[in-house]
Parts: sequence; structure tokens; C-alpha cells
Amino acid sequence: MMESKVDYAIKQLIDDSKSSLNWRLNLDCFILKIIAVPSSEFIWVIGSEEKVFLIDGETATIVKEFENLAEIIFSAVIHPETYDLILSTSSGIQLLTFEGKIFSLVEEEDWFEHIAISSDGRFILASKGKTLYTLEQKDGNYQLTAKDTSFTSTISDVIFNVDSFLISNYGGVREYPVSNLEEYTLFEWKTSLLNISWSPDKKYIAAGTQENAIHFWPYPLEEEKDFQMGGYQTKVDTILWSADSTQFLVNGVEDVHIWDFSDGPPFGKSPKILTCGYGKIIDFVYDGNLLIAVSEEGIIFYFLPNKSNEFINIKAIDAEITCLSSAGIGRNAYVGSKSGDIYCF
Amino acid sequence: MSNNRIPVTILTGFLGSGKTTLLNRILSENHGKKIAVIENEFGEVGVDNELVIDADEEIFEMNNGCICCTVRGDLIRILTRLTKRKDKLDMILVETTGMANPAPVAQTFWVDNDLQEQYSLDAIITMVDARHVKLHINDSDECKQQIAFADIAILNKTDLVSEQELKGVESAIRGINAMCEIYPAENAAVDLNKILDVNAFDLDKKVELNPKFGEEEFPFEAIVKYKLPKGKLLLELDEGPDPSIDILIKPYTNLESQKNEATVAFSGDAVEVKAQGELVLNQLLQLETTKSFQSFDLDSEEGEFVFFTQHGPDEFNMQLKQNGETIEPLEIIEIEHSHSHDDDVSSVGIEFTSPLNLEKFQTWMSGLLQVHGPDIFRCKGILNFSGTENRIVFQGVHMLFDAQPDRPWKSDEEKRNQLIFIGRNLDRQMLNNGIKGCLA
Repeated sequence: MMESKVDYAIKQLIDDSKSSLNWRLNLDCFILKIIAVPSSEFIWVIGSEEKVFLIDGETATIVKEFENLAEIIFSAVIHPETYDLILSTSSGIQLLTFEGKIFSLVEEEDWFEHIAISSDGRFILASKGKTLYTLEQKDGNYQLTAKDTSFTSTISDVIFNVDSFLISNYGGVREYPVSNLEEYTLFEWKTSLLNISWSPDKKYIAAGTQENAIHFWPYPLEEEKDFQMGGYQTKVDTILWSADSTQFLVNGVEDVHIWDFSDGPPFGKSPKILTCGYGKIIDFVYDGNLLIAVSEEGIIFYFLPNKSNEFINIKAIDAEITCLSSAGIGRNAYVGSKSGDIYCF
Repeated sequence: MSNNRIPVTILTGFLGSGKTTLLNRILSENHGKKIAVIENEFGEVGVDNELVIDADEEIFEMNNGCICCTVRGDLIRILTRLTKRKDKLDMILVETTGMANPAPVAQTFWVDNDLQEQYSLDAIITMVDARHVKLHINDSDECKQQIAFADIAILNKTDLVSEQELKGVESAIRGINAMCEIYPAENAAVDLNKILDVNAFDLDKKVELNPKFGEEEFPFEAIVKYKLPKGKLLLELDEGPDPSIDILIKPYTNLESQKNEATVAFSGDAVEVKAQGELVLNQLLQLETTKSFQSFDLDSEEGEFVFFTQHGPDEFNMQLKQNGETIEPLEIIEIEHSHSHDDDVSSVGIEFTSPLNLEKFQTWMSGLLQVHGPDIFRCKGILNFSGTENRIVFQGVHMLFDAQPDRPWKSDEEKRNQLIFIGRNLDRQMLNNGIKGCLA
């Protein structure tokens, strides 16, 4: 079969990209998530099936390897002080330490899909179907303190921002302040919410939806009404606020949209569209200056959105990309793949 | 679209029908397959202890204009998550809650692009309690729906009913759903090879099961064949039950192919012809029959001709004359019609050989489901489109449908279109006429 021009160009790009590759490591698992440990060279690499690795990102050496953790690993967060890893899995919640120890915080043969931790590490909230589990750190250990069964449909995301947890399900988003986790404020919207993102300045809660739209609630809700951005070609599954809360990023099919929130909601305005043009964009990182976006088909795009809508650099790997992480400004970018290879650029 | 999509089986059935027993059987049997089971409360404890589905579970209407297009948002997320694996799953089994309508679960596979790429709906299985189903089957919409949606019905607990009762239940199931395979079982013991990864598109056996399946129908009630002399002829019609009758006159060539040509013609617009008007060949004509008697002129060549008539010729006392002499037809072929318009749940099967035009089919199917989608629970089939050497398989649930290229037609295989519709208020003739209007 004749090789298409596009295939040839991609092959060339893969070859060219090898020169800027710092290292590549095969971990023999589907790489679900990579979490860079702040102010260090370490990264946690979470495989979706059973495995987790602590890796020295400078030398590409495996510092710790954890196996047989659970049949499915769903999500993970790092402890904000110890940088230990907390996993939600198909058999409960586990804590993995830098020293290589494993602690089971909740042991139940069920799917714990979403997890978040408070900024002081005191509280962990995790969802199992329609039930929300609250764990509190007491005397150095996490203890299960509550099971909230008041959700009427499956919880779709759990996040933390500043001083509150946000929990989404079909009925909308609930805010649980850490000052009183027994009470919540409901930001109502009946649709299938996929993910939530709270602007760092806490002015807006955003939720991507199955129905090709993003729903926004101004915070606190009393001041303004909620609103929606529709018209996306597919479900909205990747959303992100810039650190200064002035920009809101959404993945399109083959592009990234940046909405300008510097003067409030961008009613009547169009987003800045960064065109990638090859493959479905599945993840991106943005430090307010450099934006890196990755497509499922193995392409990595570099943009300076404040200067241009065109990408300034492009790289490719010979694998399907699953996730992206960056250790910060000027630091390494880590790309995870379905084949188990992790790439450091 | 990936060719090696993961097959998904949906398991329905009332509480106590034996779903959990079957699940345990599937999971414990040594079949060497990696199966993920998604139980009724996705991510929750899979204990089948709920009598009524939780109305607030995440079943939602898609904002796409389809009034019956409800899907399971939680299922989309779980299935999307299950694609994030290095070792591919061999199969997914989704168990629904006892009283649940299977439509939202089935439709989920058509509304999400990611899921469509990764998964294929293999079969909907319903567990039927042979002893208790007779209590529900006539008066429970849920029971009828579950049977109507099924590709496979496992008639469980056969040891608790007599042979006669069993036959009665089978007949009742068949009355709702003519296409589903019925497997009697005790204690949910059924050959797993017959229910898992079976590609329920395969309709071959359904024809044997129901002799009415696929009975070919046409939009005309009779074909009258004449040997005509050259010259001026008169077609005489009395007043009939309708104010007009559609007629198509063609020089006789090959009746089988001409039936299909006539079907296409009958799906189009007819030219109105008033009494004493001129009849033309090869054109669908709508003859006025408002008077007690009327005649029409036909300038004929010598030869054999076929008259396709919307109604039986006797209903209008149709006669063809030359110089006052009646010309007797060589043959009158009456087309049998079953004007099924059942307000209960039933099936309509259609089968014929002529190739279809893809564009016409898509337009017709979209229009059909837009109007009748709420009543059409399921439709599926294997189609023969002109210009392609592959079979096209399609299936739909309510307003959503999906068509995919299948394997090439075999050299010794007759290229046939086979479709089945299961639902409420199905009009066999309307469906027949519609699909025949899509001929290439």
C-alpha cells in the first residue's frame, strides 16, 4: 500500500522529535496519569492496571515500583505536604508513600472512581457510585468519618479548590466547605456533567457536559445567573483555568479554545482558537505563557497563545498518547502512552 | 471505525428471573475470556435488590431533538474508562435493573463517538421467568418492552411449568418479537456460546422461525397480464371504493424485475388522468373513478402487457375492450396483503433481493425514525446496497440507528435485504412501501 503524504510527514516528525527527547522508558502498562511532584525531580506514574511507579524524572530511573494494587486504578492525587500518592481503585482507597509503603485507607471491592484532597491534606473525599466517602487525618492516620448517600445519581467528579470540595453528578454541582463538610450548596443543572473546574480565584465553576457544552455558575451564585457555552462538536471532556483565572481552556476536536474571562463572562465574544489539525486533542497544560497540547494520535503541539494562534513547535511519538504532565515553567514535559512508554521532552 | 470493537451484551429481565444466576454462571465458567460486568448500579454494590428503578439515576434526554433519545451518562463514563487498559477486554456485560426499559442503555452506544469507536452492541438478552411471565406479559409495558428489545430470550425455570404452558409462553414471546432466539433453561443453564459474542445481527435463522417473516409485499394488489392487439382500446372502470385508482401499464418482459420497477414507480407521484383521458405506458397513472362508469383511451401496440393495479381489478370492475369486445386477461396475479396495524407490540419482517440505494435508504430511514421512532423499539437487518460488495448491517433503537459494512457477500450467497422492525402500531404495508421506494 502506498504511504500517504501525511503518514510520511508524521514518520519524519517522529524521527526528528527523537533529537529533542530527553528519555523514554517502557513501564508495560497503560499510562493513565502522570503527576509531577512539586519542586522536585520526581514523578508519580499511574498505570491503569495494578501498577504505580515513582520515577526520577532527571535520570529516568524507577525509584519505587508498586504492583498488584487493584484490578483497576481510577484516579490519583498527591498529598500536598508529604507528596505521597493516594489512589482510588476498584478495591478501595490506598496511600503509597515515597518510602515504598502501601496503606489501605478504605478496603471495599467496589469502584472508587474519583478522589480529591484538601490543600492541608486533612480531608480526602472519594466517590463510589452514588456514595461520597469522607476521610479525615487524625493522629497521623486517615479515618473514614462519613458516607454521604444522599446523591441520587452516580458522582461524576470530585475536586478541591482553596477551601471547598466540589462534587458533580446529574443534578449539578455541590460545594462542601472544609469548615463544615456536613452541609453543602447546590449549583443546580440537570445534565450529564463530565468534569468540573473551579477558577483559582473562585469566581466561576465550570463543568464540561456530555451534551457538547460547558455550564458555568458564577460564584457565589446569588450575584449572577448561571450560563452555558454550547456548539462544541463533541462532548467537552478537557477543561482548564489559567492560573490567573483570566483564561478558560477547552479542547475542541482538533484544536484548543481559549475564552477570555479577564472582563467577566465573554458573552458575545469568540474564543481564541489554537488549531492543531491532527488528531483529537485529549490533554493540555498551560502556564499562562506556554501551552502544550497532545493529540491521541501521538502529536505534541507547543503554542504561545498570547502571541500567536499558530503552534511554534511540534513533536510526535510513535504511540497513542494517553496523558500529559509538566513539571512547571521551563521544566520537562512528560507524555504517557497506551503502549506503556513514557516520553520526557 | 475500529473493526475489533469490544462486544457488549445487555442483560435485562425482571427481578427474580435469574439474571444473577446467569451472571454467576458467566463469571465462573471456564471460557478463557476477560469479561467486565457492569452491574445495575454502576460502580455500586451489584446486589439485585431493587424492585423499582431509581427514577433519578442518570438517565437523561439528549438535547438532539429526539424525544425518545434517553441515554445513560454514567454508563458512558464507565465504558470510556474501561477503554483505558493495555490488555483489551474480550467482552462487556451490562446488567440492567429489573424493571428498567433497556432503551437508554442500548441507545448509549449510538450517541457517544468514543463509545461507537470502541464498542459494538452484540446482543440484548432478556431473562424470562417461565412461570411468572404470563402474569405480566399481557398487562405490563415493561415486560413487553424487555421482550421486544431482546435478541435472545432465555426462558428460565422451565422445570416449574408444564410443556403446554411452556409452549404458550414461547408463543406469547414470539407474538411480540418474531426475531429473538428463545432458549429454554433450568437454573439459567444455557450454552454461553449461544448468548455471548454472537453478533445478533445474524438474521439467517429468523426466517425459519417465522414463516411470515420477510414475506414480500408490494404497493399494488394485483398484476393483470393481457395479450393486446394493435389499435385503439378502452379501459373501463366502474365507481369503486376509492375516488381513484393507481395503475401502471408496462410491456411485459420479466415479471420479477418488473415487480420491483413497479414498486419504485408506486412510491413516486402519479399523473392524474380524468375520464376519457389518454393512458400512457411506463408511467404511474391515477385514474379518476368518481362516476358510476368511466373509460380511458389506450393506443396499443400488439404484444403482451402487464397492468399493476393499486386495488383488485374486480373492485372497479375493470375491463379492457376493443370495438366493444372484451379482451380477457391471460392471467390475474393477486398480491396478498396483511394490513397489520397493531396497537400492541409486534414485529414486521421484510425480505427481498433487489439492491438498495444508500442515499435513498438513509433519507427514508431517518424520516421514518423521526416520525415513528417512539413506536419502533428496535430495527435491524442486513442490507444489499448497489455499488458495494459487502453486506451492510444496521440496527437501531427508537430514533437512533447505525449502519456498518460487514463481511463481503459470499460467491454462493444470494444477496438479500433482510430487515425487521419491532414495536407498537407497526404498519407492515407502510414499511414495505417505504423500503421498496429505496431500490436502486
